[in-house]
Amino acid sequence: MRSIVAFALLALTLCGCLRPGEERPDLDLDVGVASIEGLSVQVVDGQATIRELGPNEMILWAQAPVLELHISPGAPTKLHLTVLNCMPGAELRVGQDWTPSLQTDHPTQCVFDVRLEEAKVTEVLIAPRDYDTAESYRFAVMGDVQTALNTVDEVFQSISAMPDLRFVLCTGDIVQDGEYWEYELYEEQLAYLRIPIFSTVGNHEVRKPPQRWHQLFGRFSAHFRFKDVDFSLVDSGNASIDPKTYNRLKEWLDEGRDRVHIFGTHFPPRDPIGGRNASFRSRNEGAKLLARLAEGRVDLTLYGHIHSYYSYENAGIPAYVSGGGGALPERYEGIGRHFLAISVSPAGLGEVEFVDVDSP
Amino acid sequence: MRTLSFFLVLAAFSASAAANKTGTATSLGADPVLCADTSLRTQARTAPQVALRDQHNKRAHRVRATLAALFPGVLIHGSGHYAAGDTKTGNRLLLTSAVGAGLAITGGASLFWTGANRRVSEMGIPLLVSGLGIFGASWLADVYGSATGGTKLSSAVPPNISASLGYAHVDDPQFSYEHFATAESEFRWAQVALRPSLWSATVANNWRARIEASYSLYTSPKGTRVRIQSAATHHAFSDDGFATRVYEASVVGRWSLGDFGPRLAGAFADLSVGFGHETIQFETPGASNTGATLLLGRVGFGMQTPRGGESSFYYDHRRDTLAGGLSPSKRRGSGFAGHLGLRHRQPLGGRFAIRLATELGSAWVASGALEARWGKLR
Repeated sequence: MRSIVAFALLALTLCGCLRPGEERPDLDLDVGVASIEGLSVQVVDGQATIRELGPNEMILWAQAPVLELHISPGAPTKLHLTVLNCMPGAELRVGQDWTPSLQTDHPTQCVFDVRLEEAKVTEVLIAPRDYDTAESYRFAVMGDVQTALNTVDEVFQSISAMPDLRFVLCTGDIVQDGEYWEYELYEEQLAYLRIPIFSTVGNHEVRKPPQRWHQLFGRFSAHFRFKDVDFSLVDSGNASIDPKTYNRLKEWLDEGRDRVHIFGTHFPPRDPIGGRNASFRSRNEGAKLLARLAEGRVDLTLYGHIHSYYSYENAGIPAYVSGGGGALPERYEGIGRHFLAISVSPAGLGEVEFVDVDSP
Repeated sequence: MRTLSFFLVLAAFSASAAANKTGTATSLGADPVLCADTSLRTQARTAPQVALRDQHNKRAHRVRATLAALFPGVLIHGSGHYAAGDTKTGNRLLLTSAVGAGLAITGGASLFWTGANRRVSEMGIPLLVSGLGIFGASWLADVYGSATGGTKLSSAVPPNISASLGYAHVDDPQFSYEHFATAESEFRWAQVALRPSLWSATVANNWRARIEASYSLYTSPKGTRVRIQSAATHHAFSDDGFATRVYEASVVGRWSLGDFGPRLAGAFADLSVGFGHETIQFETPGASNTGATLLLGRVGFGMQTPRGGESSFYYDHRRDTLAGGLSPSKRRGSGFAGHLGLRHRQPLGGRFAIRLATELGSAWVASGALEARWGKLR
């Protein structure tokens, strides 16, 4: 009996984190909602985070190419609206009227003056005019910068040198430790990137309290549609996806079922080198995710975490690992800093180009 | 804090095992300090007084040795045995920990310098895991030997046939199965053993069938043994639209630590390494099977407990089981580690025994089973 009691005591000491990322889906729900006296704002689906809101001024950080805002003023006012990480050439639409951005220093900074009428919800759309034109376009994919933040400008310049790329999808691990100075440096380096970057978090961002990412960049998991192609960027920062995020992913998969749908997350559900296990903390959960993506007819899966390049299939879906943002690389395979340039249209996937940053 | 509490309870558990043993005093390695102390002064005291004082001194000595095993023993393995005057065992534990650290550093360095290269990592990780396991086991052995002084308890001879029925509770935020009925059995014939098992969820459409076959390569009278083992597992996740199938082969070893020194009698260390291949079969039409290799590695430390019982604590690097892989904290460490486990088997007298186990990874698994045994028993 004594040994069984001792066993029970030992067993009780074995308690750990079954849902280490459970705060983050709840924080996602708060993104894009703010109000002050006489003014309230809602960014639909949390597609942008509100960095500042004053009686006559608002600053947003966009996490999607297309933003829809519902603005409710208490009195007639003119709102000076700045959108950071904005699509180049984006315009503001109220009703059927399009207004171009005011002159700014950088193509990913858009500035608008919006007239708001009293006691009326003004619906605002901010997007490039071709946002819903069904045609082919290209976007870039990168991840895993970490300790190479001070040289990531070279990667950004390579991306910017390809004028047909519309935006960058990032699979996370932009920073090494989630320190504020790292995020400041990251934003400084973005001066070299002429298109917006939409990112989820990796295991390095979650080393510090999630409120940091939440305040600066908004959602950990995001879904958007651009030119009739769906994109889902999902938070797997703890080598797992929280059940609440799975619920949201199910909605996104259902919405995008009949469209081309591109899925990105930091951890591959399955490492292509299985024994290395640089993947989800539970292989069964990884299989569950792949089953859901297959059932949701996802067309492409994009991963990071492994600082190299792999092209393979999972559950019959093309998969790419691209962790070439500059972090300590997988050596002796001849793969260095790189990004992917992917062509896509509502009809399907096009070419996936591997772009070597250091060997032009 | 959790780790500290674990080892405090482990030390208490070890002491509890020692208190229950039979013939404690005679099983110990000679304690030179106590021997010198008692040889001079016993003439002036009565026998009961001497016995009482000896017992008190031994207890105090053991507490000092255990504290030394905890610190600086956590860094210098064998410290507890040095404090107890058992230099020979202390040296062996220190050497073993150095070997473990060497393996771990070699494995870790190969991963670091190659950036976990695809051709290196499947060799580097076994070195890292087994090295850390040997390093950890040498510390646990130091704590055990310092706290108990060794026991005369020996491992029970496995029965020819055993069968068990039980229940398992699985707390996994990713799956809703929760309750499992379990049935396991074992058949032994000479060096060969066969272990089929079935776990079936009671409220979900999920079941796992596994069969292990092993061949014993070496068995010593003290309980050290080495076997090769192969296994096939089919796990149906019908509610989630997939099934997994794993084929694996491994070498499984158990070292009776009594060979290291008398203070470690009754303890053992487990180490197994192997490879497997896992295939996921999806129910969605058009979703092709997905396969991947699997690295198997388990390290453990355990002890015999009174009345033929046995307890062990282990780390298992695999992440394809119900327990999955551990997240040590919300901030760091997710995605590399396997799971931790604790097992206890306690004969109830006659032909029955109870088996308890708990594992912690991405899920928490707790199971209990009643085992019936036939054939040769001890």
